[in-house]
Amino acid sequence: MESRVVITGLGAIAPTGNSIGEFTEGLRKGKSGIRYCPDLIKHEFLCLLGGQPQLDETEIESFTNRFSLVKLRSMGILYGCMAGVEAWGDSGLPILPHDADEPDWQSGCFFGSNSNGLEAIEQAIRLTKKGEVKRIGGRAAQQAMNSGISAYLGGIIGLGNQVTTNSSSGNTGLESIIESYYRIKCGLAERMLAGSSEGSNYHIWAGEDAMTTVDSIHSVIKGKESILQREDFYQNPDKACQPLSQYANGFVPGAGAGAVVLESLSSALARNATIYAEIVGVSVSSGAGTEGLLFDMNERGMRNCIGQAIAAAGIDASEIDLISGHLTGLPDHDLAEVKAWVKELGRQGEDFPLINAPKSMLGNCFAAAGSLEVIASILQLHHKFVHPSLNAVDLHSAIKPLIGSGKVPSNTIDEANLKYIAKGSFGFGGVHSCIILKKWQNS
Amino acid sequence: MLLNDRIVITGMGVVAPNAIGLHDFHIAIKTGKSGISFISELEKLKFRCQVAGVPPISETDNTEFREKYRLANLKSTGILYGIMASVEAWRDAGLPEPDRCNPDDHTGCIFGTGSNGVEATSYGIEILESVGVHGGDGCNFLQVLNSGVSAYIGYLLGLGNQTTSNASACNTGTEALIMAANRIKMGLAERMIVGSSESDSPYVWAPFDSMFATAQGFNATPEKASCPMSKNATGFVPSSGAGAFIVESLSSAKERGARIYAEVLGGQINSGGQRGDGSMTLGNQKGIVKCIQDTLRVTNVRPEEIDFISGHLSSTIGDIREIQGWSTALNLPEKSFPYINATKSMIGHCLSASGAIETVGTILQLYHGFIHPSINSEDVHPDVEKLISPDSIPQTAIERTLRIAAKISLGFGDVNSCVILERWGN
Repeated sequence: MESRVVITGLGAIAPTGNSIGEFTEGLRKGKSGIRYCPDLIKHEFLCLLGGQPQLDETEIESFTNRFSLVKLRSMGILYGCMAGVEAWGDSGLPILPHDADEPDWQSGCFFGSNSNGLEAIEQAIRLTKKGEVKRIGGRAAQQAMNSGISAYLGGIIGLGNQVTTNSSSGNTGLESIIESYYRIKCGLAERMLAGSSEGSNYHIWAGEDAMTTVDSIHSVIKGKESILQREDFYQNPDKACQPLSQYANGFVPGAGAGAVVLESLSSALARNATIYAEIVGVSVSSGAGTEGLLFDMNERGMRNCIGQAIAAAGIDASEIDLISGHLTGLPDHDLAEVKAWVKELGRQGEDFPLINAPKSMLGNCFAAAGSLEVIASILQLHHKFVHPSLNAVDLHSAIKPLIGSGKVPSNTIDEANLKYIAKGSFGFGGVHSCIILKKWQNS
Repeated sequence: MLLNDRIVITGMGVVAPNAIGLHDFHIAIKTGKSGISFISELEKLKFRCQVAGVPPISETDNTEFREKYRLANLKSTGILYGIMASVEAWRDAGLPEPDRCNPDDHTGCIFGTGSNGVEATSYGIEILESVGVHGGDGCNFLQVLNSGVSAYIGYLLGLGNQTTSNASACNTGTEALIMAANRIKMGLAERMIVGSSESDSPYVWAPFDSMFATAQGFNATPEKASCPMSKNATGFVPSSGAGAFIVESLSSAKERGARIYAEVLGGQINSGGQRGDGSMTLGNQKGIVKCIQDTLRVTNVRPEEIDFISGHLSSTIGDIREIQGWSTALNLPEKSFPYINATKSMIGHCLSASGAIETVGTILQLYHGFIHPSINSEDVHPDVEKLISPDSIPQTAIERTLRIAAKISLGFGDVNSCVILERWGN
């Protein structure tokens, strides 16, 4: 017996806002969360831009006190816990008292991360090198382990089903939701808290910077007045992240967390929960780096993944109203992705659906990207709007002929009658995932 | 949704502290060979516990393997071990040479880790602070990611199905096996490379040493340090390595004419929610019992059918709680309690790799018909003795035909997983 799976709770800690309310407002207004981060210059970062959640000390302290989170160093774990608690509350589900005898056996957690524990690991490395292992303290191991985030969330809420962490680089967030979906669909759980988080840690960004971030020096194309030099970006950071654009030349690193409560339809109906959307089809696959590089995107793999998700949803490609792309601002990758959508949907030019890039506002929140972006999709379905894709007025010359000029909204579209949204995520190692969301209409 | 296809194991690979490769590991666990030794670096760094288990890979083998797979710059030992075990499992299963240009869409990978990238992280921090971001090796970044190990395996073996890394602390390896079996049961893949690995680095072990979780008082007698179920147990011995399986649908295995080691009858993953008597670091008794009982239920196996249990048993206070869990869940008279052994007595606690390495051991025992000794358990802890007879804990290998084995793994975060395996051909 298969269960239908719906979404009943949302939580976000994003560069554009620290709650679902702020995040929704940011999407509607096309607000950029990218800021100038002058601190990065001392480590010789090429890109001095980033999208970090703006949390003040009192907010953090009040949260950590509320849940007795002692000596929590990892920002990724903090963001994940905050988003997770918001989503759980949003769905109307209870946080079990600490002296409860048993956890909620039917609720689990699948919360992804790429390297959340870096702050704890860094401290452990420093002290170990100095021969001061004893000073590391009893709270380091649980943060340094990859599964720190799910272990913290499971303990805060009292989850008794599977509690684990997944990781597949840029694919992580969407994959966590897909794994949760399967678990509920097969009847192994009634509710899953899914999501992912990424800390604001320079060591994560350093790795990205060494490879693929924005570097305006390389982007200067003669004869184009709108080109911004690197310094201009620093005065106008909101202009830097430009997926699909003629001038895109890399991504801007971001951080944050997104959390989603997935639930069997019967459980959601039984407790009269607000239903945001239904997940009707998913797929996760890999392209195995066919071009010989671990870092490559490959069109064939992406196409397979998109096709499988649509087939699983049992809908026709023509029914998709909006694509929320992975679209990072790396021109080759963006082009490969658009080609994959065009070919697999069999829709081109004016027939192509609307497409937008949440990363144009959030930057690439990496492990957190998929979950924050799928939340953006759910909010657009639920609140009937399409958020703008910033900085894409001049479409990439190879993309423009494929999808028609009006398909990338530069302003918010209100009263949008959306029924199906396709969301894709792709990651290093040639991994892909795709999910088809359907607007919930009490049927 | 569940197609109820039967799931079997057709290949295995192992990199363990007491042996490299299936053949040597088989002999090592049968003869009770310890892989724990004194590590002078830990003494220099003033660790309380200066013994550990490190896979004995020779310099020549290491270099040869790295050259063959173009991994000269790989810094993470955890990723290296994971690739080695996976390649062995792939060969052992008789799968064809990988073709990266035509990825196999029916084969995927769930390969877990707790902190594989720590060597790369350490290197990244050094580079950032000495010569700046762009002074180092650009490929280092991929190893820092939790999913580095699965990304490398997927790339080297040309996998087109899901390729990901799971993490649930010391529960990771067994969880990966259950998740992969579920994926195949749902008809989403034909076969999966499954496993887990852990790096050997003082940086992985330091936080555990700092929290008094590691073995104390055995620096002069390393081979005695890991003594699960014994009254001498003072903490776990940190170690490293990797285990890997090829998990496959029965129809696919039969079609290929593959040798089948065992059938995965089923498994369960749950959490005690850090409620009741559970916490971040110690399992809720009810969660452990429920995990075992649910596994028996979904597999239709009666407690008395279990020939032996491969425990999580890490040489800590948790051992007693685990035995209590088994005793409650099986609810058998003392003399009917199955044999139980601790692979960690020989290899220490390979952390996230433990579940996979120990399950390789479990399957070798089923397939070859022996139950390996649980070394250093001569002096059984009085609280264990209250629950089960010391005769249930083998001191030397017991040779006999076996049918059913149960394997359990437990982890920080109060997470549990249990899997039941049946020897093929019974």
